[in-house]
Amino acid sequence: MKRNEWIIVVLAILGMFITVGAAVFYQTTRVVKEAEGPFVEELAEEDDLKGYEEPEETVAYLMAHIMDGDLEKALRSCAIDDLAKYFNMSLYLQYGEDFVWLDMIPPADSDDEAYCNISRLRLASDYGHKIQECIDQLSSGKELKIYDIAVDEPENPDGKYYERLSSIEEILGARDVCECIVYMSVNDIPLELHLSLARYKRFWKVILFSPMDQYKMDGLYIIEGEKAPEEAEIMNLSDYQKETLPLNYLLINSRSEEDIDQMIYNYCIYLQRGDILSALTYYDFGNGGEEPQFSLELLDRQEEAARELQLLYYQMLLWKTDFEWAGRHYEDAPEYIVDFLRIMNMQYVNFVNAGEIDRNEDEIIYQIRYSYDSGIFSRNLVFSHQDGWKILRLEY
Amino acid sequence: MKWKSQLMQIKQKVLQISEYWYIGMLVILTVHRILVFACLDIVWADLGKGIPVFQFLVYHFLLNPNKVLFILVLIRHICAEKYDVKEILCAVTIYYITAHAMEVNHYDNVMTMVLLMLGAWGISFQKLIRIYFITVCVIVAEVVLASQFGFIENMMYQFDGRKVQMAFGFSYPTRFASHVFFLILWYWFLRDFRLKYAEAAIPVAAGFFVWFFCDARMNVVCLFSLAAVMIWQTYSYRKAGNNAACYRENSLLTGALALSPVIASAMITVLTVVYTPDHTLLQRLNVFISNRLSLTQKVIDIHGVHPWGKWIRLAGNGGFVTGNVKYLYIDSAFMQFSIQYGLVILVMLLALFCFIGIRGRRNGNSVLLWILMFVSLHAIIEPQLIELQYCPLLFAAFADLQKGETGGSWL
Repeated sequence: MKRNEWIIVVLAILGMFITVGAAVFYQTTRVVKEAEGPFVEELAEEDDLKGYEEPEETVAYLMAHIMDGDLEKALRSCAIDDLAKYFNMSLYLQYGEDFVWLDMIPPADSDDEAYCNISRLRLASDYGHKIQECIDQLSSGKELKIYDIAVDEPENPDGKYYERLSSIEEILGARDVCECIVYMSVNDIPLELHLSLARYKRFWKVILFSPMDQYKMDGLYIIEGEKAPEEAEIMNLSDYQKETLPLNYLLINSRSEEDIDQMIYNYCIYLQRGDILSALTYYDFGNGGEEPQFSLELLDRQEEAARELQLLYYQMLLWKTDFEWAGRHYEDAPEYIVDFLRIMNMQYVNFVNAGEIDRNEDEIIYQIRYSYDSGIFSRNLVFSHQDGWKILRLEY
Repeated sequence: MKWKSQLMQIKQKVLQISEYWYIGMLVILTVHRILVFACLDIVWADLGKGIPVFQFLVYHFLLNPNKVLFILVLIRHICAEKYDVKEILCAVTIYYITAHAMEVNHYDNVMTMVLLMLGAWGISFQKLIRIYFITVCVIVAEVVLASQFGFIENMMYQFDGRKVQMAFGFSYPTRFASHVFFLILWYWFLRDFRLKYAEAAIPVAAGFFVWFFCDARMNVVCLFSLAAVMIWQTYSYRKAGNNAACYRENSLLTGALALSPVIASAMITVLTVVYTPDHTLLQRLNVFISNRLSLTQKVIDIHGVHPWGKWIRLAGNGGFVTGNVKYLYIDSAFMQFSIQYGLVILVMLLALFCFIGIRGRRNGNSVLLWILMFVSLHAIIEPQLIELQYCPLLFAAFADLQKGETGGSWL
């Protein structure tokens, strides 16, 4: 190459350096970074128990920890992560023909991280309450004896039975589903607890504390059973009591911000990205500055915050949805509602402004206004100040 | 040694056939890309449905041509008359960088352009542009005529504070306007030193036409500037006695022209990065260029800038005659490279464009250098820099730049 050409090459490199440097400078100094370690993680080792390959074993593990009154360990037998990650809302709508807003698991159809994490937080609290109810009804201060755990299958299943199971598997994104019955006695009263389980990859997880056709029921499905024969042996679950399944719920770490305007800006960007875990690290879940410790109250507070965010997304993204049309087309266009709900749509949101609207000794309320699809929306953010600003709640 | 000469003959034959194959691919892909953005009710994925062979051909040659193009590139490089280690190393590096970026960001259009560029090795760039120009000219003219005779829709856009914009059969007015601009650019390339003063009236007339009917301001600016440069260039040729071989452009000017992609890219990137609505001048500039700075900044704020890019669903105004209420679009081609395709691809493409500048300079191809400058200017605001149906300039990095049909050295 000639000297002149070398000069061009050097200048071109300089120009590219300026271009890339400017972009990298903006990325590192101005673009909001995701929160570091937004939730508590557990170090897993190679030979740790990963799950049970038989449904009866999963139920035995659950019952062993219910017997112990150990809510935390029992919760690990539930399909929190898997349901959140694999629930297919389009198929559910096609099958169930009913969109029940926040009372159903949000869609994981398009791998939206935001919805997966909302589901994880909400399901942890839901399952936590179910297990607590089990502990209260069956083991707390009572004599619980378990005689048998068996898979519940009809004697002569017909084609429809398998078709139904196959539809449920598709909706849940599971490889297999089944129902189990726990035969037991509480204070010598014979009872049956009915559970539903799903197999994700190799392992069985609890999905319902009822049979599958009772999936809308709130409480536990415990019915009176037949008295166990005299010679019936009580199951020994002590081995399961020593075991621990992998962590499957989220405990959000907390952080605060000194500049409230910066915090609101970061929070809005996180919501637009669908990074709800980073957004939730700004919440005050009552842990102070400490690492969050497991409790049902904490799961409830996290669930409440996740529910508020889900409502924010749903009300805005679905505001132009024609539900009447959707209702008539669940069969041929089940993805209609799901397409509206995609978090990718959040990039079209414009934040109009944020301003203080009220203040008292403990709290400051800011109103955030934003526009989407020619509609204007608003939410109130309630802040408290303890070693920096934190969000108490999101109000409608 | 008879077998050796026979082998050479076969190799030459294969090379020749591969050249026809390449030109055929270039033509059908260009036609396809033009028609994709025309107001036609063609479901391309359904083309050939029911006829497996036809469906296979449509899929592999039209809709997902990268595998076929890769085979074509391999054949062309294996059967090349001379093997150049530098060239092969560059080709392999470019291919791997693009393939990795595509795996991360899922944009396969860059790969199509890169494969077409690598496949152009040894083919006269002038010949390619001649065929390309005729193809685009015919198809665009047909689309425009079809829209005027009512066979396809002539979309009319009306945005706040702007006059009615006509799309002439395309999905958006600036798409049509950019076709006009690029066609005139390639016309100039083909005419080169034979251009007459009177022909400078073409971009002027086109500029007024585009201004009046499409209100595509960047294209109007480019067309009027193009007319001025055409006149100046013709005057310079005449002064040199109409002898292209004797004509030599000012070294400083050609250097600046060769650097124009880098200058343009640095300019729009820095403007986007420093933009703040609090700065009056930048705010005015942003409003003047239809919020391009703030919109691009918003995309970066949400999606960030990554070395290998990120897939982003952009939504423009195409199809929404009063404007899309869910609008988010990166107009600048350079900013698209940075954000969607990744910084590595941006650097690679800028290096390739500068390389084209150096090659053009070495071959004394002033018009090519001016074209490089114009496409860079256009790419500050518009996204068509590496869209096949508008700008095959990238092929000049590997194609033969010698004027005429004979081959020359790569660098």
